[in-house]
Amino acid sequence: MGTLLDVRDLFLYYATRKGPVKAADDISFQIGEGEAVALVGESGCGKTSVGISLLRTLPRNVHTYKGEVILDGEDIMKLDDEEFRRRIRWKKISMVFQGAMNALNPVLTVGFQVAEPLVIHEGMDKKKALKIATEYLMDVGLREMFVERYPHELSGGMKQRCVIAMSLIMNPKLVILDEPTSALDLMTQANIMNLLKRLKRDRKLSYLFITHDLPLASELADKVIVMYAGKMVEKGTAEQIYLDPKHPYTQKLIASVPILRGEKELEYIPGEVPSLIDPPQGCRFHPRCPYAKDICRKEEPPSIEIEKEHSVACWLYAE
Amino acid sequence: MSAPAPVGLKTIFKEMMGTISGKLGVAIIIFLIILSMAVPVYTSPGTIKKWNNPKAWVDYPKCAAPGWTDLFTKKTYCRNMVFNPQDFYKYSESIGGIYRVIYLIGVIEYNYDSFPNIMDGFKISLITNSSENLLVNITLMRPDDLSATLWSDSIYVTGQTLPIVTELSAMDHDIKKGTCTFIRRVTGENIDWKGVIPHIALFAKVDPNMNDPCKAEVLKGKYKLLIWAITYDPDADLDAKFIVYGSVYGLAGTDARGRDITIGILWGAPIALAFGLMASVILGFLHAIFGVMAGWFGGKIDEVIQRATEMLMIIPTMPILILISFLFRVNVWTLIAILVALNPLGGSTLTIRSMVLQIKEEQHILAALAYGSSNYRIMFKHIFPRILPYMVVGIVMSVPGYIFLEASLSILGLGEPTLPTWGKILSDAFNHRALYLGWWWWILIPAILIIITAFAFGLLGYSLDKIVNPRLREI
Repeated sequence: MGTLLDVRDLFLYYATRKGPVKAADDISFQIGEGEAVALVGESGCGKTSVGISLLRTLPRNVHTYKGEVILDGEDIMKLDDEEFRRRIRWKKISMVFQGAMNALNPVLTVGFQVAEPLVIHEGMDKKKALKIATEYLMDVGLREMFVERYPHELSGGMKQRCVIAMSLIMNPKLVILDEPTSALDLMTQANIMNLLKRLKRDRKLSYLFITHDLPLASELADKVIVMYAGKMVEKGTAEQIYLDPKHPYTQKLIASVPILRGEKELEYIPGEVPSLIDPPQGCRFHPRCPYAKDICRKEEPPSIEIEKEHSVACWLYAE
Repeated sequence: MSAPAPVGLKTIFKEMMGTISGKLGVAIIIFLIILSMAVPVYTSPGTIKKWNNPKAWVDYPKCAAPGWTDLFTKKTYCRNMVFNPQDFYKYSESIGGIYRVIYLIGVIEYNYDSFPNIMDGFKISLITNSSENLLVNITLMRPDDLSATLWSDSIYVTGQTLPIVTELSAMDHDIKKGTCTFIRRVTGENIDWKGVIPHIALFAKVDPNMNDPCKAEVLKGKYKLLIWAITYDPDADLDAKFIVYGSVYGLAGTDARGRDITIGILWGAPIALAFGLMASVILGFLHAIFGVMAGWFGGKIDEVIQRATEMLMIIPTMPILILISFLFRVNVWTLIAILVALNPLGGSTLTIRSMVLQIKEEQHILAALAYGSSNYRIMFKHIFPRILPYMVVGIVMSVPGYIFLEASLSILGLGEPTLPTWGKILSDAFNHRALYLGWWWWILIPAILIIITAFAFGLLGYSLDKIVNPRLREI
């Protein structure tokens, strides 16, 4: 399995009146071909910022945006906006947006929206594009009649399928899934997850699966990256993270997952996510960490490789 | 409870037709469109070029009320009667090859309860190609077997180009004098010829008051106009044209220049619709485009558009329009251009900008951006349809404003110089003190049309607003 995407030292800061918001701070990871990487963390820890910085759909108030993003051996950070739009967006990287309810324009038909990337990138005529869009919609499990429907005529799950079809239409190599099932009920969520799994298998897709839902991530992910306050705290294969979490934050996160009909009292992490404008010195997790030591308060922990592919940023494991 | 705003213009139209105000508005607009299309049916298209040419309207009565005025009174009003040369019986003989006598007799069935048009009465035109002077006598023979010699004089042909046309109108001194003699003869009253109104006295029953328009009674029956002429030219010919001007005419009457107001009204309908719609559609789209640009691009473009909008909104349109129209004669199409130049940005620009600010934060816009849509595509394919319903309401609602604007400029005497617009007709009425003189049709008909047009668009806008504005929607 070759490496498809190699992200090195990615920074994304937003400018605000109070100072820069360090939404993604020194992020590095790889995604192999046909591999699904889950990006897990609490709300507001910078997961989506990583996603949009890969696709370069940045808001206006960007403060710092740097790093290397090597896709298929090419540093796409060096491309100018126009070239990026023409060559990368949707052709190589596509995205399924948070909340399908909102990711479709309410006044355009579903078919038109799914077909639109083809019209834009290939200059295809509308009829032909619509025909291909129909195929894709049928591939994600929708009937042909929905092509001419408006989004409000579809259920949440159907809309999500449309958005997935839209993300696949240009045959990208990498699909960023930003909380693709967060607004759906459990059954629909399961259906969508199965669909994503099937598509991954059939089309050899790579996923960057952004979610706050650890159990859900375990369904799909080959590798898991845990983020906290804009920093990567731990990354490893799914087995390593779920079975043997090293970072105190990961451990707490897994402990807070409810189990069906269990007697377990759910754990939670005292305190709250720190402000990303003025993060705590040293390890960003130290105010909430039960094992915090002196050094945690002073210096940022380095990324320590514990075993192959499993690294953790914590002073506890520093020898 | 509010229902979601409908999608697509077809649905909106269907829903609109479900409301009473929508139906009424559409019905009135269809009526106006039929009016617009009726011009070529009612009159030849060339007529309109003659609108400002007084010669084209000599056969028409001046200030005649609409023909249907009859329906509201017990009287039948005098219709316009035109006797062309071929309507006269003609008899001519050459006597001894030295001179020639020509007789012309026109028969007038006068069965109306009112006198001919009080302004003009009648007109006699004599057309001759005689190369010698003519001695002409015109006599009106009345149903009561009395006859009045209206004119007995010579037509001098020396030094004039043929054919020679001599026009005698009812109020000419000669005709007045002739009528005066007639009145003196039949009533024995000694009246001054200057006070004679020939078209009253000649068509009135014999009575001491036969010259008084208020007291005289109409003598109905068969009148004959007898014209005879003697000339020394054996080949001479004489033709006559006789017009009795009606006191009512057509569907909408005539104005002080004898112009048929019906033609003006019919011709004004497409102008009013086209002007109102064009001005509001062009300006509506322009405002919307700038609003979308301001909202979408933000930053400096936004700032410039906003400040420019505020500045343009402060500049008063009407005084500037008056100034421009005062310096240059502007027709309605130039007026649209000036409006566009003065108001490329307006209040709706700011409203639409704020709508776009909200829409552009929605995720589907981010999605569109992510799959590579250009700015242009996002603005016109994704954002524009969202503001379209609002824009359409704005456009429909602003149509009456522009129709009124054109009318107000016309009333100030600064409107369209050549074509008859409704405002222009009103303006002419105003200048001729029509209201003061009781020529109601000249004012009421164009005014009512302006009002119902405004009303129609107002109703449409009202029903559209109810449909597309979620806050006003009810289940």
